[in-house]
Amino acid sequence: MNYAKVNGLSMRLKHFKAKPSWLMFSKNNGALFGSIILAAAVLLAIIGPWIAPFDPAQQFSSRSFHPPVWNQGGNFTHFLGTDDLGRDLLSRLLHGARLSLFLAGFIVLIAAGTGVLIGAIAALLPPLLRSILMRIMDLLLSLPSLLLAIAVVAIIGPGLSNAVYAVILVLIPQFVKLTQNSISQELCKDYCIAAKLDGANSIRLLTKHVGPNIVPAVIVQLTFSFSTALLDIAALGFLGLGAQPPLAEWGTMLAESRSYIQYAPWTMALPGLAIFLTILSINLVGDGLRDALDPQLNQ
Amino acid sequence: MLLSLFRILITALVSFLGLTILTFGISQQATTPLHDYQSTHWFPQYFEYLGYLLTANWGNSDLSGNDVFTELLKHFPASIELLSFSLILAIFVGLFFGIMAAKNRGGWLDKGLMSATLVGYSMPVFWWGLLLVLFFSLYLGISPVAGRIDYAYYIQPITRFMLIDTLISNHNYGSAAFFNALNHLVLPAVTLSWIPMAIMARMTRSSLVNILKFEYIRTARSKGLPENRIIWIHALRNAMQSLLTIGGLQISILMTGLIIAEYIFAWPGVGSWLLSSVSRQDYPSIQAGILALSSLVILFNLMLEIMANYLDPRKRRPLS
Amino acid sequence: MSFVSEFRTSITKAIILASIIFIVGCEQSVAPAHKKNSQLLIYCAEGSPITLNPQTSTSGTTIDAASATIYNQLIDYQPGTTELRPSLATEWTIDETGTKYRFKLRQGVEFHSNQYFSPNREFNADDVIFSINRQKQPSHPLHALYGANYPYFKGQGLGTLIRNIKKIDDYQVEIELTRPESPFLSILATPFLPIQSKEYSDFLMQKEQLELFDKNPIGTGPFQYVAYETDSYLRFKRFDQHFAYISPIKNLVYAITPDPAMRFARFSAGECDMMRYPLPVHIKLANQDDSIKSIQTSALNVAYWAFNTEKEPFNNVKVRQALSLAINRKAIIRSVYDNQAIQAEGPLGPSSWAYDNELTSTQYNPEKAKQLLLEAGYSSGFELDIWAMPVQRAYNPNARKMAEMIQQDLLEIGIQSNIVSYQWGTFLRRVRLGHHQTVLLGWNADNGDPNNFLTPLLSCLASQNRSNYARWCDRNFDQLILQARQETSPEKRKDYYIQAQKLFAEAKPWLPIAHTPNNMLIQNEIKGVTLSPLGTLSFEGVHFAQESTDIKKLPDSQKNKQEQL
Repeated sequence: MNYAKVNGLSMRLKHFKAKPSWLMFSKNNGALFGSIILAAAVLLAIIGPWIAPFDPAQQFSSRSFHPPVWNQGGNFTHFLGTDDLGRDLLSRLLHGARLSLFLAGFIVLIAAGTGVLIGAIAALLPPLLRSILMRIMDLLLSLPSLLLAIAVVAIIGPGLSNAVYAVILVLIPQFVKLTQNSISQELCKDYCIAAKLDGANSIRLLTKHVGPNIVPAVIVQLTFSFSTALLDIAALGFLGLGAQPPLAEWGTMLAESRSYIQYAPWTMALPGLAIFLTILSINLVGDGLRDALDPQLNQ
Repeated sequence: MLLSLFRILITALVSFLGLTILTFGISQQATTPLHDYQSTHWFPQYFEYLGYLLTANWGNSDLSGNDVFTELLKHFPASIELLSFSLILAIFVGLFFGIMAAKNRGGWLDKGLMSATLVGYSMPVFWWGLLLVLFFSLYLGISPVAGRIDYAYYIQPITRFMLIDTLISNHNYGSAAFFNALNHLVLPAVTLSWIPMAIMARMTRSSLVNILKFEYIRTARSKGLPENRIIWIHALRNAMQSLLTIGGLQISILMTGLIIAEYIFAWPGVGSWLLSSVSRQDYPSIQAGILALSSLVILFNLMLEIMANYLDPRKRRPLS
Repeated sequence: MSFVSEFRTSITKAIILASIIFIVGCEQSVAPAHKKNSQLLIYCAEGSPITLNPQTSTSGTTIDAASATIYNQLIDYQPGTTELRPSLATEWTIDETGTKYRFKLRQGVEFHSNQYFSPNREFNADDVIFSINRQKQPSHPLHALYGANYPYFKGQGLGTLIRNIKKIDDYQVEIELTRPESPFLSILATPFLPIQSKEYSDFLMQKEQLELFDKNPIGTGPFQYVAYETDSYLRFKRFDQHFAYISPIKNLVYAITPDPAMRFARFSAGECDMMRYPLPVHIKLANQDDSIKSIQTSALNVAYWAFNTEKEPFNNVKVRQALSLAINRKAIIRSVYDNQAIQAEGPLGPSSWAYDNELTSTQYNPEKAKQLLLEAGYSSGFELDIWAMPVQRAYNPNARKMAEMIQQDLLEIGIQSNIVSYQWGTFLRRVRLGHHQTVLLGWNADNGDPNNFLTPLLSCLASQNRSNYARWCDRNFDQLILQARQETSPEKRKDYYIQAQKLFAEAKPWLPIAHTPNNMLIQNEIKGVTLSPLGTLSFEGVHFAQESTDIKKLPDSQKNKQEQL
């Protein structure tokens, strides 16, 4: 799912407004709210393994389906309760946060690096080759990322590392397209033409002049790709094609707990809530970043 | 205009060819070759593969030995039914809430709806589906858990679109069968139309808020045209435009939702068929499932482009 | 328009819209009343059968779908037991060499009909010969249909065991074997040898539509095939001319729901009447709920911990005894099986007719284990590998967890252990080749004969890179089970098997761990469900609570001839 497009569009439509409405305020509030949650999630992902009360794989067989503290029978030993094998949910969620966020970050950095590089090379290619490359990127972009990831996993087999490769592959085209578009736009601008007339070569032009100007757009795209990566990894885990149990990954935890939806609803509710809150906060932050950083859209 | 139409068609064709390269790669994984290729090198084989695809010869399943294309046709209507119902739900409910919010701009209904849509498009579909099942099917008991129709009704498959079959096939259940099928459709459709619905509502609202400020609207108002009429006419016109601009994205989101919702609700469509084929490593079926779902996306995008081209000749590439 | 009124109208509209969506959809209540009128029974199945012919697949999904409904065999099992009873054959005699089986066939048995075909004759000897030769003879017109292979028939070596099958008259056939084999009758009673209609095959061959034969199957069973939609449902209707009983169920639907959670959700919402393969937590929930219940029957399976008797120190019987005494199996059954299994004492469970009631239990006794190790000369302990199967099976839901518990128990008698696992295919291959020291595995019976456990799991022949993973070979044991195989009198066979079980208990090539029962969840208004120890499904005797059981019983004259066995 590409939220960047949605937000871009709503922004484009929004900026026509003469005076800032309450929505603009709530947007800022939203961005603030989002950054707080996201910061908390990142902090928990970093320090999680130290503050987690138990080993995420440790099974307390006599304490399976221990309810969370706010339910009847719950207590503070297992703050968020335990799952079917008596594993502490809080510990699993904390380790899951580290896994999910770090993986998503890793995926996005690799995808962005590769994508920007391909995009920059594409901008230097002769028009025919460039247009072929861009057609391929268009095709990859028009297909739903999950479908594409399923296709890749079908070829190379299920498992967490393969799911990661699949999602990287799926995210690259967005960056290629973005970079190539921004570069060709920048290259038409006066300062570039001036630099060209001055005798600067293409590579130098790209790194010195165009580069700094496309960074904001890439950063905005990074946040939205981050949420796509997180969601796709979780979705693949949920469908049994990504991380395999007993690994504490949010999507996989959700898939495992699906069997206990009636008996122990919290085992299903909590990993889902974690995914939802993280995605929500990233989207809010992304919106805010777009307002602040993207000069083209923030006229 | 003809020229740009030609260009759109060529683009779609190139996309389709690119897709077949991917599925050709998948079909190479099958334990027994999908087709009796004349040539030994993969490159000429690919063209033979294209020929087989065009003659509806998509190979046989590794497991059951059944013709994959026939299996695909059996699953396709269920997916299309769910997809189109969800699309309609997303457009109309989204439109309705968008108008609601625009009419009350600044009011708490607006705030509430817009916060809801924000929450809506961050919702992971697989979790949302489970929550809906838990609440509406298991807790309230007002919606069925899975399936397309209650088994007490035996509807002979004719078109394989359950809603149509309950109306045209020969049975004596009356309209009950139709409503029962509709009942089975609601929860999966709500699950997968949630995100597109939220996007639709936001778009409708923001563009309406813009339009309502313009001079001609004020003129129309001062002439005494009813507010609702103004809003609905502009809302509809606007909805049309938004659909065209974000249509490609919407179908992409719907398709992701479709795969997940079919998996959760045991809906016998192409998505669940694809997933079970992946877990069985039945490559001919995986190839067919991916080819079918992706072609659907390409076809939908093609339709959107043609429509946009038809509506606005200046606007040649609305989706770039 | 004032704010308040505008707000009110919008709210009203929003509510109306939301209600329309739900009310239109939910106008029909979830459990429709007409379900009872149509005498419909819905069974929540765990998968889509790949074929509806049990000859061509050993998958449980196919067996459940076809053998409980469409087909009958010559012989079948008394519901809920492993005792044989007549089905399409009413009686049988075995000659004194034990190689010639003569079956007298039931008269007046009708085949189903469908939109293509209605039978002109009743079941007779031609159908029996046709059905068995389809699997045996490559020249049979249907043998290579859809590229079928016959995994059970081939796996049991029936192609070479059955020398010949001939027709004596219309209602008598004789099957000649190449050697005496008393489990043969049990094999005939498995779902893998259904009787199909030769007339249907001839008819389709004439019309050149032979591919319909297994897709629109015709049999003699209590339900006839109506429709099958892959991944969705399988529909049957009652066959009113069935020879043994007329079920009160008029329509039977298999609602295909692969995910166990969704299956249970459907079941508890009343969308189906019966479901198999519940998780332990579903059984717990069912026991809390008044409208549903769980039933179970002990099953013919076993989970065990095998010692590789070809390797040091496991070739020493004292070491094997010590290891067996050191394991707290009660705790394993509590945590791994959630108390849903019984502790095993031998390869055969109590549901087998050859079970030795006097078999003494191996009590958990770490002190005695230490002493035995001392006697064996391993007072300082040693290190061993535990290979844990990587997949989940009915007889062992979590081998890894089991291995961890065993590891803990072994520490107490001073033995260090490592847990080893590979991907399933590799795991089996390496265990077959004897690379392991000890291994956690299990076995599920496919016919009711004790031989089905003892020969594949413990015979000398099977110890050579086959399924005898203890690689244990005891000539006396082998002699006993061979005699039992060739003997036809059930009493004598049981004697041999009891002696064999005693030998096993002394030698302890493995520590038997658990026999896991078969479970089924049913709605309270469904009565008369019997579960088979072999795990096969049957709707015989199933009826709705409010109905009288108008089940036509088998006439007494036709009743069991199994005394002959």
